[in-house]
Amino acid sequence: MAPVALVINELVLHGVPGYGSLTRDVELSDQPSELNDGQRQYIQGRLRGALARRARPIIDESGQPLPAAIRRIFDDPASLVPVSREIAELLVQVQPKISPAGIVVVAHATLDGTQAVVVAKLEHELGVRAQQTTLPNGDKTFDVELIKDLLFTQQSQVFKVAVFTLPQDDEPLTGQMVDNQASNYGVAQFFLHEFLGCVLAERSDILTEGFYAATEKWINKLADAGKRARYTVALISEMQSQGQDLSTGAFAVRSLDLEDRDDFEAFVQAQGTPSRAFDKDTALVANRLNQVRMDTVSGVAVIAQADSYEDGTVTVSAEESGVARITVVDKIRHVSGRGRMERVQQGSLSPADASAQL
Amino acid sequence: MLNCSPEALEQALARFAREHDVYESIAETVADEARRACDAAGISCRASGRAKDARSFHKKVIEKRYADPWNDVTDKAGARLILPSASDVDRAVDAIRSAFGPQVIRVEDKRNILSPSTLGYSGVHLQISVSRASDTYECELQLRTGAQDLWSTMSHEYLYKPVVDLPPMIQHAAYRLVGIMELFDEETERIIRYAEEAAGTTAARLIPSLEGHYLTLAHSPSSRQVGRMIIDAISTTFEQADIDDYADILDAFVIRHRTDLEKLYSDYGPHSAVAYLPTYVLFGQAESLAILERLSTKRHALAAAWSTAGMPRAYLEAVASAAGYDLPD
Repeated sequence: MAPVALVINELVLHGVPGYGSLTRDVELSDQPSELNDGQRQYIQGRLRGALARRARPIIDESGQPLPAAIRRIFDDPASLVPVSREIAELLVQVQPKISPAGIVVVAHATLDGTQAVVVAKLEHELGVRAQQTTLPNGDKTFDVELIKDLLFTQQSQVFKVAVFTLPQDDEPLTGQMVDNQASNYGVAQFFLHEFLGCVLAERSDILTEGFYAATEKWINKLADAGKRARYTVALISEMQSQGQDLSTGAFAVRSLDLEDRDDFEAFVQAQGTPSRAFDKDTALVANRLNQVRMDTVSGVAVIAQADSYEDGTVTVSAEESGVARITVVDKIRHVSGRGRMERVQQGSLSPADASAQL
Repeated sequence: MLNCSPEALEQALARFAREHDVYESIAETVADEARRACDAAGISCRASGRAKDARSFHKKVIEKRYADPWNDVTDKAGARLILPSASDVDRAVDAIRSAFGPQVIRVEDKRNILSPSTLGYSGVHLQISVSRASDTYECELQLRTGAQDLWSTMSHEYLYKPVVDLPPMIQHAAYRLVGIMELFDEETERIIRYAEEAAGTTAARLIPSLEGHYLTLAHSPSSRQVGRMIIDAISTTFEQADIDDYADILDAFVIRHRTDLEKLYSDYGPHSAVAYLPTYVLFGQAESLAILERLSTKRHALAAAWSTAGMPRAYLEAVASAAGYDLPD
């Protein structure tokens, strides 16, 4: 059932200094932290949620220190504490000077039943605690206290986490990474490259092409021609937007009617599109993003820039029995006498209106 | 005072003694067939049948002053159906008329109020004709509610057959009970109607399946009141086909994910170390199973319905995160 079945077994915390810290020393632990069951469940629940939403597959770059350290933990789980201390020291070395102080977490875990190691950096958060107190005169009031070292609060976005799973023999180390602080679904490059010693393990151009093709296929199975046009324009807009990543869930929320979202996700995921976000790279679909083309059963083709649908130059509305009305409101610049364009010749220089069955 | 000749009475009594076993068999047959007709119509009932005893036959001819003792006593075979409610009596009459066809030769509805100031017995009697070999017999089939049967049994014993006549005040007490009997039947009818309407709601249709599975996974009961609130909030995510087939949908979901679900409820359920945290309150409810099932198939619809219903998003997020689902914004 659970897409992400992460279970934390043993966990070590180290304090790392950051921008504004009085010392550059790492506050190292000599023992794993004791977690009662409630704390364990809370932390692993938060990690599961983050991984389900934002995890990006990663793979190690050979010769990097952190993957080597992770392998040592896999080889000898009893080395968790000493190796985790090295990992904390490594983070202090590679993180930008501007990075805030925080806690490095290294945990022995299982992911979907496979041995795993979790490496995370959690940053401190501010919060307020209010407790009722009684004044000397008997009046009641609340004492308000500013708490500066909260970690991993329910709505916290200030953490980065990676989960590595036990590799087969000489296979490269692989895992998943979440950077909740990065914009959209991106990842901090220093954390991925300098600290984790990894690169993203997926071909963004191929995933993007797969997303585009699966979405287009889903759109064309819809009965409502108006929706087909609207969603196609939304797909092209999504591809052309400044956003650096793609997510089926985010696209569904932004662009599709509520009643279509779950069906869309089920369809495109069945076609192989990941349920999580991935980098957008439109190189393989660029030539399909300039225009939207509609072909009707009676041979009429309407080709228009995606912008024309957004600014109302071309509109598509559903009529009865699967018939759609395509309306073009524009000045006719040129009419030629070849091919199917003869049909357009019947119009006038006033706004043209063509009905067709899609 | 007899209204027939002593010879005619003697002949009738002698014939009834000879044919008593036949009437016994006819009464049992009619009771059995009437019960089967009700079963087929989905009406529960208690059925019984027996022949009139010889003394009752004798007394009835005298007390009713019958001129034709054999033919005037029409309940020589008697059968009875006791039904849960007054509307069930009506449905049973229809079912029996349909099953017996022309064998139903007369229907007497004693509920018809002929005098507003009179209280009394109010069952429905059907006269059924039964053929045996070359002869035709009759059986009186009485249909009553449980309350009508109680009153009828009591009144028969104490009003109609007392050794000592009851004083008017005591007889009046018996008739006062008719009012209670009618109230009982009417209130029963009201309760049944409400229960039937409530049984048609999405919550009523889903909760029994959810509770059944939840008990085996979380080993805990849950609040029906909170459960209805949750199902009402997410009811728009269920299409009619989902509701009709939800027992099967849920069975398949639980069978497929049983191990994960057991672990999830062990970690976050009502007996877990985090049970005291309000964040995980939904895991204390059987309806969390519906939420998990919807997260796996209709997470967008679920998130939207939850938000529209004004339910706290943190509760839903806690379930989604614990189970490793991404909850849409």
